Amino acid sequence: MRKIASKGLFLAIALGLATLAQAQYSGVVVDAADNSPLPGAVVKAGSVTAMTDMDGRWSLDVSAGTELTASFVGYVDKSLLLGEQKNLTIALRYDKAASTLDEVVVVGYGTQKKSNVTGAISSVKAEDLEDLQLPRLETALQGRTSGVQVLQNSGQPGAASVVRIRGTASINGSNPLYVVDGVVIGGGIDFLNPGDIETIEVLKDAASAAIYGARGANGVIIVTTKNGARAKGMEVSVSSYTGVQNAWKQLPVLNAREYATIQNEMAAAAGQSIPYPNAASYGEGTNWQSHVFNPNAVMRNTDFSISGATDKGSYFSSVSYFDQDGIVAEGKSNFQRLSARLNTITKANDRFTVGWNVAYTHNESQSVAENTEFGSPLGRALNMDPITPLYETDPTALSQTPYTSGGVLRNNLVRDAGGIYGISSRVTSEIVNPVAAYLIENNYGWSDKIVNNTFAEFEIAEGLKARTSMGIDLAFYGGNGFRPSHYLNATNQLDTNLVYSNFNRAFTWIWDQTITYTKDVGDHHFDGLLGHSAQEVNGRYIGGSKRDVPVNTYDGATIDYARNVESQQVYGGYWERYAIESYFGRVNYDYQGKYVATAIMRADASSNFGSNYRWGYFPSVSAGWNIHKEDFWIYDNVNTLKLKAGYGLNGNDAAGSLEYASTIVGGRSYTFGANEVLVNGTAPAQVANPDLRWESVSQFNIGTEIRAFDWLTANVDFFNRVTNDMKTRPPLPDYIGNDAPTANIGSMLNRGVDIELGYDKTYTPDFRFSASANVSFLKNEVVLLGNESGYLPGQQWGPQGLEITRITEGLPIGYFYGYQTDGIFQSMDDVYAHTGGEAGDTLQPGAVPGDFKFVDVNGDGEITADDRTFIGNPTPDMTAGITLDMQYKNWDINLFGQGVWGNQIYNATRRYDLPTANMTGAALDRWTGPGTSNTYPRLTSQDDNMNFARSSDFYVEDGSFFRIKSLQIGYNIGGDAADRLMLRKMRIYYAGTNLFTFTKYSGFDPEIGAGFGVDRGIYPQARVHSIGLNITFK
Amino acid sequence: MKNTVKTTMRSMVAIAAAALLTVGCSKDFLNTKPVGRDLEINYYQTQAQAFEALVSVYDVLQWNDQYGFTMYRFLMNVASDDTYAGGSDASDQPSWVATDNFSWTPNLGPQAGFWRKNYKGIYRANLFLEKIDGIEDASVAFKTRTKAEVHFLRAKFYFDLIRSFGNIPFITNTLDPSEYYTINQVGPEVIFPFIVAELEAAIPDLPTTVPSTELGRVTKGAAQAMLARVYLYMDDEDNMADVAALCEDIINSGVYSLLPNYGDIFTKAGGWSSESVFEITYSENSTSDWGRFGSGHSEGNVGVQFCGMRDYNGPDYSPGWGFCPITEDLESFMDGDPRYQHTIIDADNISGAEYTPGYQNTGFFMKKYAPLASQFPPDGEPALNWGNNIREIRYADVLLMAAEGLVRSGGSEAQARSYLNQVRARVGIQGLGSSGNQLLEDIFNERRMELATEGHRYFDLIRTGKAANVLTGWQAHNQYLPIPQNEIDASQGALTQNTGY
Repeated sequence: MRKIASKGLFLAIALGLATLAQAQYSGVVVDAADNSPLPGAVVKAGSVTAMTDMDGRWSLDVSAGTELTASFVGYVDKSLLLGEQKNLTIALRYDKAASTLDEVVVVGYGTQKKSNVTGAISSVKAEDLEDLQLPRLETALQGRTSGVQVLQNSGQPGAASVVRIRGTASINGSNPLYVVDGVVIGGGIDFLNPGDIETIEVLKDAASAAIYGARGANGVIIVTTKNGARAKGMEVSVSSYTGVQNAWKQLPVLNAREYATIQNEMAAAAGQSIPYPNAASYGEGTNWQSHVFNPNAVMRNTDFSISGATDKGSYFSSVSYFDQDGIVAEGKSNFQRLSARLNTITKANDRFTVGWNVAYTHNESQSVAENTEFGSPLGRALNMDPITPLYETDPTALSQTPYTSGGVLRNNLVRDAGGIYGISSRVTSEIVNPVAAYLIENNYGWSDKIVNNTFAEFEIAEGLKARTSMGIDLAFYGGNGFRPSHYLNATNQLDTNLVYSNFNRAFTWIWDQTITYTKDVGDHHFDGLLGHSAQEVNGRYIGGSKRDVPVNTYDGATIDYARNVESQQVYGGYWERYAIESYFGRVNYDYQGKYVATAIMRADASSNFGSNYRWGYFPSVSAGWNIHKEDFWIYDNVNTLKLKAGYGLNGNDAAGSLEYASTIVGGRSYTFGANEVLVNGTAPAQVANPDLRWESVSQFNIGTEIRAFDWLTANVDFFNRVTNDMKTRPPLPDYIGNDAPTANIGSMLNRGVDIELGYDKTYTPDFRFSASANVSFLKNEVVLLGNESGYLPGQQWGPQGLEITRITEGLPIGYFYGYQTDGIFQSMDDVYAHTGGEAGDTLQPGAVPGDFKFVDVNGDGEITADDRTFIGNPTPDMTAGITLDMQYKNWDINLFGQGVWGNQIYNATRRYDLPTANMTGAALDRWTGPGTSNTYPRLTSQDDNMNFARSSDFYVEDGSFFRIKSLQIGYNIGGDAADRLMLRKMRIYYAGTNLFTFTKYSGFDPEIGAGFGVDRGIYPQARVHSIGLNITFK
Repeated sequence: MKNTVKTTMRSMVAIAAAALLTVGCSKDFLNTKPVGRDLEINYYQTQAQAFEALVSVYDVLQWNDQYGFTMYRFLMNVASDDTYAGGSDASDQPSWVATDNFSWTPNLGPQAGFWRKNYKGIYRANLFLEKIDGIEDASVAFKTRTKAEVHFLRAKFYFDLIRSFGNIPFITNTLDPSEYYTINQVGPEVIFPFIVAELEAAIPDLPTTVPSTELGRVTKGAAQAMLARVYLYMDDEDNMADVAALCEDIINSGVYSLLPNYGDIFTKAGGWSSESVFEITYSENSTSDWGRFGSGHSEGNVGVQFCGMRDYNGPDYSPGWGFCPITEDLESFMDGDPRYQHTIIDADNISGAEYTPGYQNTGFFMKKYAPLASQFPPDGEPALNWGNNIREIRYADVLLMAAEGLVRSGGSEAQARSYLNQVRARVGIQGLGSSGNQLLEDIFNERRMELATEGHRYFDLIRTGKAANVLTGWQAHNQYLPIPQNEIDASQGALTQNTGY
């Protein structure tokens, strides 16, 4: 190559001097295999470039003797010297390896050839997503890239997912940074229509993410939306699917007969009278789950897009509508998204390009409470007694309390065409009739969002480009709600209805300027980037509520219509501004493509910090060695072997506005006067900490990329990620009287291995099989919190605030905390034999057979709160995904599975504080006498041993699961039929989502993104069967 | 081509200009101004701001949510022989159960809440006193009165601390970070004289009465009664004449009188009646919810929710959580007294009503602060929005303190009997003619009867030395709560734990 180039140069000079005159060369670029034309190929000679048209044709005015190079993505470049021959047919050879190596990867403010990438970046391409059903962006990442853990918060339509890149880096929020077409997106990425996505790149290591500096610590997800490709000409596509969703699992709970029997047993054990003398007479009772789940809920999506390109530019426009009903609480849980997008790029002239991406999205949703023990439809369905009827029809019952008040039937009982909803006289507190409770819920959310990015790019000189872009993210969003007058039970009632509403506007602009320069000096290739960026976020909000609307339904209920003027409440204001200003630079260097290196430096100044630490500096370096390009590399079967390593520093500026300052806040109020007026008081919120700064994450990454036999790929990365300066609130003594500020004290460690394997082979022209798998191993540890006690309190459970998780130094974040049990006392002898401490005291003198044997962890001879310890970890040790893809003639099958291993789930679905709450079928295997159970204790209304009222490993279950997330079987209509219909592509398919789940977890769903592994009654993922159609017109 | 060059040049200039404009954003670009709040360095400039700072000191009086449910007067009932802990079961509120049976440990009990609340109050009081003199905008009259109020409030915070903890950091200024871990932990011998001095400083500058819009602000009578209460608790016979004098000053002021009907005291209308010397006020209108619980900004009285009958369904009352069930001892002690029916709910004998018996259920519940259906909070989370004011100092208490002060200082026993018998006559029971120690005993008995379940009994037992005999499980070291372990941990060795813990 080098030889040719220098020879070319010599010839060019020689011939150029001789003939100087330019001539027109033209020709066609074809595929060497079948001589079919390659439209969109690039033909370059000297400083002029041409792109082949639909027929593969090109033409250039150049001097003879110039070296011409033709290239096309996926094909091996071909160079030749121009001579006498003016009409040239250039045949390019397709190369699988080249097709991968020539891929470019979006790296933030630019792209890079995949072979030159030295950081850990995972890519998801449009072709991987093309035929999938993706309700949201996160689903596109789920299980498809290593090192990225995606768990859906819940199955509620519109629910977001928890995305963690290489673990949880901070106790202060570990959400990755989302960048869509160059615009940093705040407030979630609901707006993005997954059908618009061209590629997703995940910057996992610090060396890559350093280009996003103070916001890169949790990894960066860069989304690039589609644009027209010239090679394809104008393309019109329609894709649509309709699915039917159902709960994949109902939990076995006690039926009425079993419930009554066990309640009798509990009362007897506590020495109380039997509440249900004739337990057998209650039969099956009410199956609350069947009333709460919404069978055959519909989900549908339609995308329509037009795209294309000319030599003057390209365009992509789309309209999409997505509509999903929830599988819980019919009519009260759903999500709709309408989105439209226009992307255009125009080449104004040879040097000047302008472009515009604009997307508008309208969302509407309705939601019910979920994952709370204080009243969610499913939580209630599990805890409500099965004796209470769905509708109370017994006239005697309806003539008494609680249906009556003062002898008169209450006018605010929940009722519909079926009658009056039953009220439990057994289970109390928030556990009310689950159906009646969701019927009165009216929680509506909406948003209108416009995300726009306008850019201009100018080629100042060869290899030197300047670009400026202005991104706008304008979002309006809000909620409306209505609480009708109702009576659910004594503690859940409302006499006068209430209507409320809120309205918010968020506005972000981000202005980037970059200059890039590319230079080849002999075999040395340099490219560099210098940039400046500024961003500002502002917001406004207003909301209010009022009571006594003349109608008792959501329809028609408005604040203005409500009559009770005194009850009117209003609030509003605007946000404290957020601004960030940054300078950044990047240098890429490679020598013959063998040795590659990247260095990045970014400086960020965030308004979240005071002047002491306003600026942060985030450097990174990385290098790679493409061993297969060395002359000594003789193993032809191994097409690619790359080693790479990188180290860098990223930041996390997730502090509150003015968190570093001492501010005087209101609401420190007191009531004065005969009329009980609440008078506002003010006091300092906290001690100032002018040294507050960003958290920093330093990460070392070492990895390898291998491609062999043209069909096997393997990427392995090891990482060590240390979070320093993690913001904690080290406790100050309370006698100081003012609250402690946050300070950069803590540290956290995430360490692991990411592995991606791929297999892709075309056996015959009719049969292609590919498989890819990714596995990640992760270990998380909270290293330092910087307080005396060494722990921070975590989650609580139940009205008594049982402490069930903690964050403790030396242990994984948010681990489950409680007592260890060591089986169940089978006899009094067991009780006496359970001794501890130096004196050998009986540890649980009050216990009786059937009670839990708690472990005296600290060995002090007593079971006390100090014996609570680590009883489980919500973070998986291993996450994996696998995709199998098969194409045979016109048929294709795609199977995708995902799983996590080594984590636990805290099953907090039963209200342990309510002895009359219903139980799952596990209670049927309770301890009833010696030898009956060593895992489920006796049941009693007087739980003196606190078998259930203590957080213990009894509630902790194996959370591992593997799930067939999706299976698609498609049929492509091709050939003449397609031609006659002017179709480029038409595919009809069946898709099944969440078809099989393999888990030991006993709850509704092991996929719990929300709540950090604590299941308080999760809204499970739906199992979906759907049929879809993808059509692309010529 | 010429055109292209021109356009290109223009574009270049535009881009360069744009780059220059933003490169090096102005310094203000990165400065965020506070919205809806102020920077401390810019505050405490006006009388209005000083008043808001004053309100924030008052605010602490009503706190009952620090480190869990730490309602002071209700927990003092639990500690005394008036009520048990109660709740749904033994594990409902461990710190309440520990208060009931004196099984406090440095980690278990209400101490962290009491400690934090009062030191928050002291901090705000110190801050106010540091700032007020420098506020040129404020009038002298304003400064004089508000400073007196803050001295009263700081005295009350210290009084509640020293009674509960015995050995406490003595802090009279806002601490600089350099002082955080060098504080002095001192005992009653330092704190009580300080409290007395605070109250003596406040009394002359406080108004005798306040307009109805200012009810809740400290009056002279409140400060005098507080000082009398402090002297009684100090239990030094040398101060008893002062107790009598302070109380008689209140009595002779003519501002206060007993309500004719004992049952009216704890009704809504009985708030700030002629019998109220000082109340701690709560609001039913702050729309508090659980999200605010623990922050001190929950302005309702959650104690009311606590002491209601569990899952109650019947007339008059709203359901509560079954805490503070009346002890058999108090029930039988009050049996036959006219005040019984206004103090104790006989839950098992309300016609047409049912409730769920909880832990330590006796069937008897507190009536004075019971959740009434007629006062059900209009908004927010009901449990957190009960508006019932705590009757912190009642005139009846003043009369009984006056009587005690007279007897113990060797003053007129006839006058003392007259005060005692005013309290008895109000509920239509016969006066007593006792004298000497018997008279003192009668006064103590009357205190229990008159002030039952109002949260005074426990410290009355302590100051009279009866706690060990009367309270099951009480040992001498229980006079003081343990210093909260979290506080000892955070103090970097500055604090010493109380003996016995």
